[in-house]
Amino acid sequence: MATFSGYRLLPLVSGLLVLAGCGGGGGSSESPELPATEPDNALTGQIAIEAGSRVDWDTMDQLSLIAAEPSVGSQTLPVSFILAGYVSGARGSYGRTNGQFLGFEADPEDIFSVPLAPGETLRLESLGSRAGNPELTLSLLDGSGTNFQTTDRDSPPAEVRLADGYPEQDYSVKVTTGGSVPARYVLVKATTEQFGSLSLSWPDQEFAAEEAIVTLKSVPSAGIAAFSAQTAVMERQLGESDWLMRMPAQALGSATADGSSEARTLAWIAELRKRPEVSSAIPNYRFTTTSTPVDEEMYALQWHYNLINGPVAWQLAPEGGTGVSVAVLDTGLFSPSDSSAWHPDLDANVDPGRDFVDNDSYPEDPGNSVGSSVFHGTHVAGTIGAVVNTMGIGGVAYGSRIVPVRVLGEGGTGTSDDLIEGIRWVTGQSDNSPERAQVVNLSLGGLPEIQQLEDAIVFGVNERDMIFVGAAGNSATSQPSFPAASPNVLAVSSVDGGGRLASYSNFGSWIDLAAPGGDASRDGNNDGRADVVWSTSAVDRGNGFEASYIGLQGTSMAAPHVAGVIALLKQESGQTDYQNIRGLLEAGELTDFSGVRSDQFGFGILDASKALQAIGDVTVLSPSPSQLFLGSETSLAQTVSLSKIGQGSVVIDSVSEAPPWFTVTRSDLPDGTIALEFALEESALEANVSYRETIQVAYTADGVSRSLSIPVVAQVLSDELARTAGDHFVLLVNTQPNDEGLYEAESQVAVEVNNGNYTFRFEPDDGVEPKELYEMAPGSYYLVAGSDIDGDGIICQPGEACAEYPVSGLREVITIEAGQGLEDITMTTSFTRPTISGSSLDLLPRPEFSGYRLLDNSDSPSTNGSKLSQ
Amino acid sequence: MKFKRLAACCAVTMAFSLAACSSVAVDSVAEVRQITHSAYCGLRGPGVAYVASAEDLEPLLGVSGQNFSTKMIREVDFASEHLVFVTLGQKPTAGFSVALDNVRFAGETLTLEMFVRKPEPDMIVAQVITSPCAIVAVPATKWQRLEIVGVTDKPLVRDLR
Repeated sequence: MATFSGYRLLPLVSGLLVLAGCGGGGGSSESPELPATEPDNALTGQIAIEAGSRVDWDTMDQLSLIAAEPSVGSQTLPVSFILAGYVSGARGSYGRTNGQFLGFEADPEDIFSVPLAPGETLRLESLGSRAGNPELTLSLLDGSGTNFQTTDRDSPPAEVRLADGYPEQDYSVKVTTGGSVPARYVLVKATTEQFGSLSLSWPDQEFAAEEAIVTLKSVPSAGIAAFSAQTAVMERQLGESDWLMRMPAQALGSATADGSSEARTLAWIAELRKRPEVSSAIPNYRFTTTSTPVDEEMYALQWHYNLINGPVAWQLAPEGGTGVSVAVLDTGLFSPSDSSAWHPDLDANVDPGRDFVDNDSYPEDPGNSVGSSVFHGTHVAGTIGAVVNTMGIGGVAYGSRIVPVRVLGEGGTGTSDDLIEGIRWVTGQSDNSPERAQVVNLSLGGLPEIQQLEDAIVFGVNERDMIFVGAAGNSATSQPSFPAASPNVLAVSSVDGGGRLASYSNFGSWIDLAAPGGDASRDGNNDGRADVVWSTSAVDRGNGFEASYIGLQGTSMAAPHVAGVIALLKQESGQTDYQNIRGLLEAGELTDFSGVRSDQFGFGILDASKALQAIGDVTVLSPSPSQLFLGSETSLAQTVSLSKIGQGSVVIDSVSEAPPWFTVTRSDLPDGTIALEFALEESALEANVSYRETIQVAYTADGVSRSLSIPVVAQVLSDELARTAGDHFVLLVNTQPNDEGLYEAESQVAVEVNNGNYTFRFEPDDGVEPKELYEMAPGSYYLVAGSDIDGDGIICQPGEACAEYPVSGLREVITIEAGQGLEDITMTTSFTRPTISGSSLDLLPRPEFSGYRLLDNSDSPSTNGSKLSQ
Repeated sequence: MKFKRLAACCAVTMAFSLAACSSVAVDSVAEVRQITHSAYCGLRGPGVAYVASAEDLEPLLGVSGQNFSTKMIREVDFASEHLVFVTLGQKPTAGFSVALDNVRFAGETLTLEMFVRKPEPDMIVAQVITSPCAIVAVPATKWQRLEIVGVTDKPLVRDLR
């Protein structure tokens, strides 16, 4: 057996013997018969081996020897190593190559004995073979069970970690193949940092054909003079001695006789390096970067990603949860009517799922028969795993796989038995299969505690190391809502853009953590927009539903932020079970935990960056702010501070070139922070047109090349359209203040700015109780308007906008008579107040004025013309 | 999917049929039609809005959280029809809806009987804030009084004089 390829090894083996003999050491038992060589024509040398290198006992070169058999023993490995190995599920042939028939032997399993301490990790990288790309499994037998992960050539490496609580000793580690063809692999035990710098492939950076970056030794003029047109074309001067050069047409044919343009470019660069006036010549490498949700077109709307420190987290986990599956138990996914694919911003990340409402394998959300639909499951799935593709949005774990499981039907409602069946299917309990996802999102609730539901969840948590995330519910109550309230589910409450508990969110002792779910009645982050969560959905513009994006609010929107971050953690840490996550949560490692658990936020508001730092010692740069809005109405210049997160060293490699409409200036501050000042070139912008560009900062942190993106959005608005003084309340107030000096409102409407203007409307009182806020009764009033920036229920305080009819400071009483209206009233709002001067002596001081008090709006908010909650 | 969307159309048609069966001014009743209904109207206050002009309509459309086609609504000719927005206000979960069920006349009072659906107590529901409404077109008659029945315990009444 195994003789057909054995001869290939013989010359190599002989060669090694010759070299060993030349070394003069001789005498080793492995090479007793050294051929004699003449010293004067000897090729002598030594080959050192990198520390920790090991090779699998029964690699194919060993198995090809006559009578060789796969090793059945366990190979002992040192404390730290990098091992190359071979496995193949069966004996077979690679086919005939150059007239030779090459075969391979079966070796389905390699077993090692590895010294491990708790927390130490093994990584397996599969390289496949030219016969195929089988799936390999790395298993760690830790005494109480098997900890395993799979990988192949196209997947991230498999990692297994010895969990806390196990003794430091030798453990049995297996590499097995699931395929019938060979695969090469490399097994490494190293620190996380070392993993990051290990590259098993040759560098293959892209570069521009026929171009080179050349640094000249001598003064530029002499250096340039030395070049003839046949050598290089001076394309552009980059620095004092640095030039971008182009390969001349003559060199195209002479550099090499054949080969690709890249090969000829490299040959030309090699020739350039030989020239005496050249200090260095390198290819003009193409800069590539990993896109994250920051690069997506709608990122500017997604305040909720900044709130959880998403941009930094995506640098720490740039693969975005690749290899982790998240089941979304919900209403299914939207599929455009003219397509069999899912929503185009999800489709590439969606795996097969299951429909427990219609009991089939196609979990499509058909929309509602009564009332319109927002495609709830599509929205939730987008927050977790929308694709980063320069379209729409990206999910928190944009590299993860979505497994859609439809358990909610008409109107977004469903039955507990469908939910239980859905969970049992995802965990694999119902058909005794492996789990179909590692994380489960449950943006649903309203159930009491049901034992069968709890049992299904417990199976996933205990038997499959799965993690369940649940929406706490929107009833503004502390009443536990299941399944979120289960001790085996992470219950997520909802916060607005300012990190305040959303007005609707449930709370209580059973809340585990909070995440952004939005609150449309608030603008907590003062970005001028209601705090809703933006994600994938569909809208009907009159011709049926089509894929789109909408903003929603609810704890349903908060939970998938947590599920996405857990997917990132799962990918980065390999094995992370519920107990690990709970431990990190209660230690304050996943949130902005203040040290005191609260019923509103549990252990705090989700912080994706902090969570990822908790599981790995990684150094990255964090930009603040993470995106810029430049413009005539915001600021013409802004500075982004790049701060180092982590203990390692950071070197900025490059900052991408800015477009003509802004400049970027770098400065290094004494405290180590790097500042990038972005300054708008107003003259280069057309008024009322939105511009967008992303600046890429490439840097090296602890030897690992990384990049971050800073989106820059700019717009120069004509002032008329751009004016805004914030959301306004318009009031009819009594003409006499109360005892506190406040003027009480009798009627009230709330308005948003629209093209630099507010439009308001009061309705006459219809006499029907309850009287609506916007209804006005006959009487005498002041007509005023203003903003309530601090939310204290009083407008027109210092720092708040204020308008009085007809002129601020000179308010006049208006009289409303039954059956009569007043139309087209105009007034002006301002943050400034009029001053008394020689030209405005009719103004009177208001020493006791405290503002105008808003009506309590909690009972009967208006539907009349109001876009705001009142 | 197609079946259920078709079913939505049929539900509206059935509302017309029910309306046609009422015992008053048949010609006018037949002209009352539900244009659309949605769980996501973005109108947070429960109640009724009577819209008699395009200017009055505009503030009710395009608001945050709204997700229905506004095309048919904008196509209404206010010279012949007015609109009635019946809203349930903000609801804590999915599963709530409101739709036109029946139409009655009594003198110059127009009564819209609405059907309100709520999730059953033992159901699981999507935890998203909703704002259900129904939008009904009525003949631009000089109604004196508008009554909405079925949304609140007591009828919602608007004096349209």
